[in-house]
Amino acid sequence: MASRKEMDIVATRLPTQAWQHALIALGDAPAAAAVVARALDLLTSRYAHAIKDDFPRLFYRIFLQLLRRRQFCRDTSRLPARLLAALIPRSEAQRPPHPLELLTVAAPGDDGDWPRQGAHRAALVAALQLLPRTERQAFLLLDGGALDAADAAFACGCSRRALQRRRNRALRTLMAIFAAKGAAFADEAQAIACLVPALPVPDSGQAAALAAAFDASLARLASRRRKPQKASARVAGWALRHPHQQGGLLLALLLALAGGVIVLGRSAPAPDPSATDIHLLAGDAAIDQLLDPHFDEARHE
Amino acid sequence: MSDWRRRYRLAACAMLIAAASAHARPPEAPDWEQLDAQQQRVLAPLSTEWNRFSPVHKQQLLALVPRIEQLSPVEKQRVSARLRQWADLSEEQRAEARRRWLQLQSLPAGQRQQLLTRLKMRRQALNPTPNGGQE
Repeated sequence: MASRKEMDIVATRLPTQAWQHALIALGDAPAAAAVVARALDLLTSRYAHAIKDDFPRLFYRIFLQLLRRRQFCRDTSRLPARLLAALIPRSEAQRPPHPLELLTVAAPGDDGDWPRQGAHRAALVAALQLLPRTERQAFLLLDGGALDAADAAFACGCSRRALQRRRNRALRTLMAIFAAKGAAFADEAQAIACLVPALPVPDSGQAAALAAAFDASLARLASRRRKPQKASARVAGWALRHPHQQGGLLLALLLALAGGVIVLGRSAPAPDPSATDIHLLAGDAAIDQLLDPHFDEARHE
Repeated sequence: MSDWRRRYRLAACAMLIAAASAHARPPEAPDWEQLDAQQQRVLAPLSTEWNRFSPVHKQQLLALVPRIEQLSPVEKQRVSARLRQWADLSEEQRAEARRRWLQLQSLPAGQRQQLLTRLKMRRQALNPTPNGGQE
């Protein structure tokens, strides 16, 4: 799928983009690095047999699944505290301001310095955190540059068209937010040219650690690629490589289950036989009449 | 993560085993002497044969008791008269009778009455006894 050169480009961009993605989603640099490292580890240790020449998209798929799980765990662990906090009445004055309320954003100029200013970077992160998860994901994947559109759609488990639609919506929302802050972009091209370079970048130490983790996983992959021993590993590999079929299979299973329930419901006997029995015994039809061998014949006369 | 998976699997297995054991538990089969006064009164036509019934059959008959109590005196009399015959039927015959009764209920009242009359006349023609084998 990818040439050696393309693979090298991807290898430099991929961990950084994943780290950016995790940082915006989790808001914590060490946690972001840990998710990236865990995804690399999982990919090479559990799904080594599933990888052919599609490492980047398989990596990103696992990474997104892990990220979603991590966010869910974080939100769940914070839920009791948030519920308790909601019980305490607070005045508007006590509410901490949103970063976007405090940050000052300048209008984009021609010098190309706009993305490098810290306030703009912080404002972009705050604005991205306001977006729905799927739209943020689409923006980061399609404009991040590490994956092409097909691979990005595969990683998200949706169609290219759906991904493009989400990304357009995300971009329009970001443009509206920045316009409200006084930084109106002339068009989408200018917005992308300003916003994408303004995404947070790992410092040199973090970048080196990410690159090392990526290289190590590639090396491990080369030495450990083998056929899966267990059927469950083969199934997991298939599910990883076929996100769309996985959804179809799930839908088919659900339909089959619903069909089974309907068929069973139709063929099942009366829910409470004693209710039927008592009406039968107390009714005007004698048991002999009901068991008459000519009953069906008489019914059709 | 694998720990959580293992715990989920263990919990699922435990639930399956509990459900299977609950499902597999044989139904209680009280003897005639173990029935309370109300049950004995309602099921009196079956007193001599009660102890030879299968546990499932006993449970089916016991399930009728509270429902019989709610019937009108005429209906109670009908049930009492038919209970012995009902208890002597095989499970297949009871299922067939239930199926036909449901078919009968799906007919309009007029057609239902016509069908019962037709069956009665046919039976009288085949077996000309004074009562025609009504009960």
